[in-house]
Amino acid sequence: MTRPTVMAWRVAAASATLLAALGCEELFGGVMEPAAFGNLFADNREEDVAKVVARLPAPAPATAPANRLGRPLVAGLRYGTPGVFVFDVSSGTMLWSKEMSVASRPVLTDRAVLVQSGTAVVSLRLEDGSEMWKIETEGMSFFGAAYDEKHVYLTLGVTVSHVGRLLAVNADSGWTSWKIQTTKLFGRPAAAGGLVFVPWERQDISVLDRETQEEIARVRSVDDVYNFVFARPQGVFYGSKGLYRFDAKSFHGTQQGATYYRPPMQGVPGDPELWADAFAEPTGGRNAREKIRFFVAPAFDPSGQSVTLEHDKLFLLYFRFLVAYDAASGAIQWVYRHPDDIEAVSVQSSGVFLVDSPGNLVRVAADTGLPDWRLPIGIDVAAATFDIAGFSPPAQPVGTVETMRVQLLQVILDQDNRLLPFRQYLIAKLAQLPEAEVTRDILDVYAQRTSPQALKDAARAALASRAEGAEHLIGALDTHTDYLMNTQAPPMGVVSQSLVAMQARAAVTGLVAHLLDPETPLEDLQEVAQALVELGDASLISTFESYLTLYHADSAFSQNPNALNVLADGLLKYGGDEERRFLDNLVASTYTLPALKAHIQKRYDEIEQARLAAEEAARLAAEAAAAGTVSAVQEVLPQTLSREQIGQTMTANASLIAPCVQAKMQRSPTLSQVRMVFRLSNAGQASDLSVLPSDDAEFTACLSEALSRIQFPRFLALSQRAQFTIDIATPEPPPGTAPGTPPPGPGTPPTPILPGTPIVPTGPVGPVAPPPPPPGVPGTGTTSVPVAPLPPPPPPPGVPGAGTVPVTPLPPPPPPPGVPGAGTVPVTPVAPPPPPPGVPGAGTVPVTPVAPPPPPPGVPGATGTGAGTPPTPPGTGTPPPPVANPDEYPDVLPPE
Amino acid sequence: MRLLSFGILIGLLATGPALAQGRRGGGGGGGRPAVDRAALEAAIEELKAPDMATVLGAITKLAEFADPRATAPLTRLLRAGPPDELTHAAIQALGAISDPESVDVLIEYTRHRRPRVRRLAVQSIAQIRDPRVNDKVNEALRNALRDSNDRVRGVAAIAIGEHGDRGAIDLLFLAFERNVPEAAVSIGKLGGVAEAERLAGFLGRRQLSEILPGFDEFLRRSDFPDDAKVNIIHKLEEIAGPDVKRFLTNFLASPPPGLSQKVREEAQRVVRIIPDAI
Repeated sequence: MTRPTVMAWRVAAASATLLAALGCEELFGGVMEPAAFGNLFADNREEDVAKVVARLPAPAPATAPANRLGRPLVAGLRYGTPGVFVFDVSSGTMLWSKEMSVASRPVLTDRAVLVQSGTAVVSLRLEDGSEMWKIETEGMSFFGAAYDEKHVYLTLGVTVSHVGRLLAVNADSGWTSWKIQTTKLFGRPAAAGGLVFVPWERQDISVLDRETQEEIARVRSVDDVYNFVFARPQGVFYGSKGLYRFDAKSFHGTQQGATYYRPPMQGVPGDPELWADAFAEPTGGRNAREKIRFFVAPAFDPSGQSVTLEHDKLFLLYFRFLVAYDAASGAIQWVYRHPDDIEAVSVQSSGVFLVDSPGNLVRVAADTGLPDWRLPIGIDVAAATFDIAGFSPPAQPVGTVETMRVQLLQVILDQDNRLLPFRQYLIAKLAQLPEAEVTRDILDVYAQRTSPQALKDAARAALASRAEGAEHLIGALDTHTDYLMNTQAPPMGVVSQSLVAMQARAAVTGLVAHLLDPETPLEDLQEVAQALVELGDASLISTFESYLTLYHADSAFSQNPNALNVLADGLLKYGGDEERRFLDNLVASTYTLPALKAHIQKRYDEIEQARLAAEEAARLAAEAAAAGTVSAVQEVLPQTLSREQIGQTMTANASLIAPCVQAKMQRSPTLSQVRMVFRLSNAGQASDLSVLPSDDAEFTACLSEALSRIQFPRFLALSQRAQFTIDIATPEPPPGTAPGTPPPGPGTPPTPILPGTPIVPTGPVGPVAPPPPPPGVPGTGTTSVPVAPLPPPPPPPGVPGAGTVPVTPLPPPPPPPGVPGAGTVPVTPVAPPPPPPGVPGAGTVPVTPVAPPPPPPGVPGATGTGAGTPPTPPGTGTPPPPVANPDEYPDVLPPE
Repeated sequence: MRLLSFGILIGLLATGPALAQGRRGGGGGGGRPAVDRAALEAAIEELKAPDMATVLGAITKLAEFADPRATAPLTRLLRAGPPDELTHAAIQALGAISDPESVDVLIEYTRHRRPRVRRLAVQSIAQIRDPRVNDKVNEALRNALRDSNDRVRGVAAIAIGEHGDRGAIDLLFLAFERNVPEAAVSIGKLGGVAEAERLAGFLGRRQLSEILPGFDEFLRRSDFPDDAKVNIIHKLEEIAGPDVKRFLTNFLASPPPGLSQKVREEAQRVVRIIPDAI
């Protein structure tokens, strides 16, 4: 063999070897060595990102559908008989519907619909559904696709084994131009400007050149996760719970450094993402994951330097409900209730479009939440995707805009069990509304027999935050637990605390009835007793004495004597010598419960300490006066601390309290207010803490411990009650800041506000007529009348011809036992509001956009209550003189 | 009759109908031996003793004496808020005395926080038969029927029937619907023909064992028409079964005085045609 021949054979062998190494599947492509997505690629490099940005097209509004037909289209999966369909929205006709097995949600490109069917990703021609090509998945899951004018970019993967494959497929022929496989899990990609954006491992986004397949930039999150990336005419966006714009700042890899928008809402049930999760395992049918998520559309920003949202709103889908939130404040703007499950949503400039399970296409007006356009698709739908940019049919609104209160109530009272977390969430929102009727609404939710326990618990917590509606709480006191009538008393613990906060002295009679009611749970009895001590006066002395007499030796209170302790404190507060002797007898009795004895004795010790402190202060003052010089101890102790002093002390020690509140907020994201009521000794030590919400022993213990470390100023009185309120508000964006600019810091929970601004007390100030003498103890019935349900609220002003959608009225509570001849008013249940009707021919009704609900009263603000009354004149046993400020109640015994 | 030991008295208090029969004719039955005054006064004095055992013993004696002169000191004791054992004993003693003067304090104790106390108070009130306090007693018993504790409801239901509170019939039916089976007994004691029909309406919807005591009361009443009794027997015939056979057999074995031949024969006929249980 000649030398050239040998050489030729060697070259041929080497070529064959090389070809074999590259793989024989495709002549013009092949599995690349993973230089892209490699561990050595430097991420977060400014110059790399700048190159990407330079290649991106300028932001533009989305004014027309992206598909080659130029028509607004909805592609979806059929429900029942598996298959795919494409529906032409403008003509209202089905382009095609094809029976086939499907294992993923459809992806609409400019010329096809992609779905995973069996073991392949299939491309179906947009015009008629005929198969263009298919790519075998080789056992992998199809996570999604992006496209440009040449290619479709598919990501496949195996989640459990962290295998990811990216393919660039010719959009027309289906030929694989290139593919990359790694040990990284890829999510759904995006494509723009000749680039392919590939999220992987929820941490990184690699940007590849579509021609060279080279990775030219990588953005890695330092303080967040990247669960999606998508490309729109408005730009390229990515994120998870917030939304980043891919721009020159993206190299920072931080929320602070990048162009970033984070929704201000917290505690949204399900903690939904802002966009579909690109790493979610695909399913070919209805999916609960898709029914609890946000829907947004980036707004067009010519500068390309911010993240703003279409309509300045985010839209939360929760099965059958759409909730619109203001993008800046997070305030709920409206709640839309749909009769059927919603399978897909698309936010467009002309409104919010949805497809429901029976296959109706509906548009909801973005500003009002009213449905204003409807088109039946004609088949049951399992999933859908939209390409309808620029589509704006004429509006024909149906229904009227209800008040926010009614909108929220309609959801809260909906008995769909899937909605329970959502209902709990909304009841907390309802409680933030200022209308007094909301208090009654929450009580009604609690009283409703069909309310699940979790909802009742949420109602209790919501009630604790109410500052309005005392009259409804007082009315609710007429309801007692009655086995035969199947009625339940309101949650007296929370109701009592709320009544104290509202200074509702008219509640005393009702509270006495619940004190005497054996059905009042022991854990609530203490609060009832405390409320009587706070709101009552000396006319309750006989009631307190009778109750203490009856139970001072009874095992009913052996495990928890707190209520008796509180009543004993009430006698010390309002009573005189005679009451002191009564308590002396209790202490002396061998039968008295030991804990009660110890409590009374402790109070006696405090009295004695106060007397000695007062004597000492008087002696020092006298010495200073006699010496005619300024005493070194110039401080003259006040009688009691003012609310300002208490507030200042608490604020100065906020660092002790804040960790407890923050931990509580982690457990209860909807927490909006904390009320602390405690006793201060004249030595400046706090004790006997009560906390609202009262359902978290860990929280109460943490606050107790923190409070015990705070040193308050000393004062002369025996002791005093103090109250302090912590309002928790979501942080307002700094003035002048538009949504989309970086927030002050990473997404940490807002710092609880501990200001020192006192709340002006509601209710009458000045002399208060004492309540009528209470009945004897125990077992005295009360006379009352049934509380009729309040009529539905009137329509809001400015909405002509509006009728209200009736809220199902609850049956009135029956009269408490002992009221002879009282019957109940039969209530005909009102059927829930009907689903939205078909497209009406009524024309549009002008609607006034519903203003966001005003912030609840007293926010921000805190109450530090200092209390003081002049002491009872000695020996008279008369009630204390009327007080100028009902908050000024000390615990001062008359001088011996 | 009143010279019963305290323990037996407790047992009788727990079985309403039997006790009611023994007490029909009002409180303070004739034939009660006179109480030794010195012993009474000594027991009353012992109520002030410092140790619980002595006080308890005094209460026991006063219950045995069942003398109304003990009402006021026992009431004072209760109003002083004694410990549990003394409370229970004093309430029961007042029941044994059955003095209408004790109604007010007993009514207060029907609203005590502990269900046992409420139940004892209801049982004691039920023993007081005096037209001067009937309205108060009836109201207290009706309120007790609404109690959250099933045993309190049960004794209240029985007591309502014992007291002849016909105005509570509808409440008794409501209680029966709400799973207070004792209400059937009082319905049978108080109801008329319409009420018997109404109770029969529960056949097939409620356990037969809950309904039969009510029918038993109807069948034993001398003021209840024979035709209506026969109608009850016919309704039971439709149900048939071993429980019905056993019920009618027992009824015939201890018939009420003056049972008419018509009713007797009808009951016997139904017993014959119901097969014995296999």
